[in-house]
Order: sequence, then structure tokens, then C-alpha cells
Amino acid sequence: MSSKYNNLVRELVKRSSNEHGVVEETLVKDVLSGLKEGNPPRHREILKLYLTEIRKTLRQQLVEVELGCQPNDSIISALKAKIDDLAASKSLELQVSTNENLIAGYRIRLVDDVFEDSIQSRLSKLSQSFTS
Amino acid sequence: MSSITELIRKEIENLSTDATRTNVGTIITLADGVARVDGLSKVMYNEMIEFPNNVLGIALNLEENSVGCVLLGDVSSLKEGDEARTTGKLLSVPVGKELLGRVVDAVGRPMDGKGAINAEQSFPVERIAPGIIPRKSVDQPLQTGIMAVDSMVPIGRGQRELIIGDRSTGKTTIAIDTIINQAKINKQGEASGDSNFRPVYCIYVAVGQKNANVARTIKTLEESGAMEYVTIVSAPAADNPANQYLAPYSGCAIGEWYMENGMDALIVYDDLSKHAVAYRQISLILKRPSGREAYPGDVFYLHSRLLERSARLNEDSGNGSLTALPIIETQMGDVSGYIPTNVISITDGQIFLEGDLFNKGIRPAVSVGLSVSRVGSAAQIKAYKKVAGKVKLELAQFRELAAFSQFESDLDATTKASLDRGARIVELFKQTAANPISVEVQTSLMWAMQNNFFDSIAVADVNRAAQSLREYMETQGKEACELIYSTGKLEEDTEQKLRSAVEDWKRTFS
Repeated sequence: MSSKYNNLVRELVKRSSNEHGVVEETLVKDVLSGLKEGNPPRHREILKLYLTEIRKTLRQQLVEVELGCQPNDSIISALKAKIDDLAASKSLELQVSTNENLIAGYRIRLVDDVFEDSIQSRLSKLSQSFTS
Repeated sequence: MSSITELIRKEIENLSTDATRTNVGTIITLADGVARVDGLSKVMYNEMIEFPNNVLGIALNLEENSVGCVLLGDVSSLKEGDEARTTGKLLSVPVGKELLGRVVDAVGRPMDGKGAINAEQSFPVERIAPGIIPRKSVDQPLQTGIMAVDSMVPIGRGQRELIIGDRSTGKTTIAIDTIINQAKINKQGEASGDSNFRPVYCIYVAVGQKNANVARTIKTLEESGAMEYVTIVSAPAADNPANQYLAPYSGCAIGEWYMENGMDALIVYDDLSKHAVAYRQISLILKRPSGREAYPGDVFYLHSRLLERSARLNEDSGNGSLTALPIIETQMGDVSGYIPTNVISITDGQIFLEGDLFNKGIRPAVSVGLSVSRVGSAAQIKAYKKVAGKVKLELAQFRELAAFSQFESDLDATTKASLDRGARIVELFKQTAANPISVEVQTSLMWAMQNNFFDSIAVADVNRAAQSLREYMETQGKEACELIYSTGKLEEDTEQKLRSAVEDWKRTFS
């Protein structure tokens, strides 16, 4: 896809987000209907690129937290409070889940950065030190 | 948006835990050993990327929206959506003497079933070549043990000498014979107890070759007792193009360890034509713009940055050296192809092997006219320089006269003498594979030729006579040979001893 389309898709993503840069469903619907009406050349490719960019943007608004054990309410509320505090007026979604593969510990993903301290990662490091 | 995530990142980093931070991405497309990964925003060029099931990759294309990675392992276990993570490490291979006698793959993993390699150090596969300051000019010979090469196109330690020719013209044989000769010299030098002796360690890089050929090479090296000084880096034809692309750089990193630690090493790249083809394949899959013959624009840099890493370092930098013998296969003897001309212009000379000569039984089939060593006689010992100084010219004259003499029935005496001498030199230079000749014996043979000892022998018998003289010099004529070996010169008393030995041999030869 040429840079011409990249710029177009960037503009579409911009129009799909509110003043805080948060993607909103209603705005996305508007963009999609506008595209349908305009029926631009290479419509399908533009939509695919738009999907990729929207996914990327949504991921930037998401904090994925995986815990080795079932999280209790106090942990979740503490995490939420901390993130709200840091994000101030901007909305950032917190997604907490349980990942038994971690055994114990946590894994936090922010866009493409992963912060991890779990038994699984320690065992993996140990195993690598034996094989390398 | 980024300011929010940055705030959270900082907060996490400030926590005093054992948390590790990795940069991750997800595979969006996977084809032909290349994965396109979304994410990995902090990846470095040439960084090792970890995929599930212990598959490694290298980040080769850092694009606006994705990262192109070539995969090094079994890709059948990977799928779209799998996580890829940065390792913070550039691709490295184990280096050191622990690799001697071993066969490894492009990333330094053993392939010979002889167990793990307990190397203490590792070197990055891609390194910057030594600059101008630590280098010195090539002045120490690297004997190949092949008379046609050592006399006409001498190779020095730290030189890059290309071996070029059509398929089945003996390119690999020259390289393997050179390795065998190094092992022979190493054993001789180590047995002598000479503290100044500098062994030459060898690395043979097999790129895109048939496994059977690699196995045959290993067998030849083992049978000749050379394997203990050799490391083989193999990326056979069955291997993926990423490994074939990497193998020469890995081999070079292994060789650089010797050079940087004040030792001498020899590396053979067999062959760089297949290396260029592997790189072309990767580049096309990575959708890099293609140029002439569909090679990418940086195919010259691919080989120049590899061969520039071979050098002779000066005393202040440890006095080590890395000699390179790259091999290029030509099509129908055409040296003007894209890759051959590139490598010819990078190297310090070439040994051109002619298919016609090979088919006529002149082996090694070294073309006198097209072969050259830009280091020249600086890479010869004085004694050898004295006897082999004119041989290239004599042989070139012979080839020219031989072509004209086909149309001339009545030849003058000078022309006839030149033709006779040339024909005898051709016979003298005929040498079987895996049969290197030491420099002192080569000097004796050349001296005998220059002093007309072969003139009374029929041309057809010259090769047999040379073989006989060689055996004689290695046994009864040892004294003269030892003098040449120890002094490196052909002084009057040495020449006297040599003359009496050759005269003795001549009396016994029938």
C-alpha cells in the first residue's frame, strides 16, 4: 500500500477518535458509512489498513494485566486507581485476566512492551541458561 | 496517548522488582522463512528475535509499520498471531579453539554429534572491518602447497585471493589442498619446537552445497589429518536461505577471533555465488527493490563488508591475520558476470581456473593470463622468489607461442626453446589433489627446472621425473631442503648442496 493510502488511513483513524484521542464506536461507524458512500478505489485494501491501524490504536489504549492467580477486587481496584491517577483525564482501559501458565507473578503489556515477573519467565530464563 | 503510556512505563520501572522488560510483536505474515512482525518498536537492526518453540530470527527490515525478520529454525511450528520478542542481543556465534575439529551450522550450533561446544567467548556475526590504522601490508607467505599457485600467484597472510572458474574445474580442491597444507606445516612447525612458529587455523564455510559434497570434504580433511586445525561452518543447499546468508559472516567471526588474538587464520568461502543467490532470495521475499539480475542494490556491500574483514594487523594490534579464499562459480567461463566482477574488484587477485585446461588433464587448471596476485612476490620467501620469478612470464609466452605454432611448421631455435621450456613447466605444475608440496621442495623443483635439469627428459616424463625428484629431496636431499626451510634464502652454499643433490638424483633417474 502506498504512502498516499497510509496518509488517508491515518486521517480516518484521527476522525474515528475523540478529542482525547480515544477511538469511539460512533465515530468509527461514521467513517465506515462515509467510505461506503464515497466508494474510493481500492476500498477493500483501505479498509484492511484501517482495521490494522484501529487495532494498533486500541492496543495503545489498553493495559493488559495477566496474573498468575485469581485477582481479588482489592488488587483490581488498586490497579485501576493507579492507572486513573497516571492517565489523569485520558481514558485508559484496564484488562485484568488470569494466566495459569505464569504459575505466580504478573505480566503487564503496554502496547508492545511487556513487563514480567513470573515463575514462568524465571524458569524460561533458567532453561535458556542451560541450553545456550 | 504516548505520554500516558510513558508515565505508566516510568512508574513500573521505578518499582523495585525483578521484572524484565521485553519488547514484543505479533507475526502478521509468514512466508518462505520470512516473518513480518507488527510491534517490536524498539528492535535494533540485526537483533536476534525470539519466536515460540525456540525459533530464532534476525530483524533485517525495519519498516514504518512492521519488522521483516528472517527465520533461522524450523518455521513449521510458527503461525500468524504468534508472539515475537526482542532479545537485546545481536546475532553471535561461539569463537575460540574449542571449535577446532568441529562442524557447526550458521549460528555456531554443533552438527557433528560430538557434543556441546564449550566456547568461553562469542563474537557478533556482523562486525566492522579493521580500519586503516591497525593494518599493515601483506608480507608473510601463506603456502598453498600447489606449485602453480605458489610460484605464479603467491598468497600472503591477510590477503583475499579469489578462486574463480566454471563448475568442476577444481576450485574447491585448491581450497582444500591449501587447508591440508596448512595442517601439514602446522604439524611440522609444532614438532620443531620453534617458539616463533605461527600456525594457521582454518575455517571452511560451505554455502548452498550438497550435503554429500560437504561430507566428502570432511572425509578428505579427516583422512589427511587436517581436521584438528579446521572448523567447518555448513549451510547446505537444504538449509534455509537465511542460514546460507549468515554462514560466511559466522565463519568470518570465528576467523576474526584468531586474528584479534594475534594468530593467523585462513577462511574459505565456498561459494559466494550461492551466497549472493541466497541473499537475493531473502531480499525478494522482504520486498526490497531489485536491480541487475534481480539482485538487490546492496549485493556489492554484501561481499565487500565480508571480505574487508580479512586483514593483516600490525604489531601494535597483535600481528594477527585473516586470509580469505572466496570461491565464485562462473557460467561458461564468463568472468564479466555481475557477482564475479564485484568480487574480483573487492579481492587482491584471483586464481582463474579454465575448463579447457582441466579437460586436457592440466590440473590444477590455473589460467596464467587471467590469474593474478596483487600482493605478488612480497608473499614469497626469498629462495622461492629467486627461482620462480620468471616462470609466469615463461608460461604466458609459451601459451601464446603454442597458439601460433599450430600454424607454423618451421620454427626458429628461440621459439622452439620457449615452447620446450613451457611444455616442461606445464608438466612440472601438474599436481594431484590432496598432495601439497612443501615450499623447500617446490624451490628445489623450480631450481632444477631453471637450471635445465629437466631439459634432457622427454616432456611426457617430466611429471614422473618431478615426482621422483620430490621423493629424493624429501629423503636423501633433505639437507639442502632444511637449509632452504631454515634460512628462507638460496645462498651459495645452499645452491651448491642443491646442485649436488639434483645431480645425484639425475644419475639415478631413468
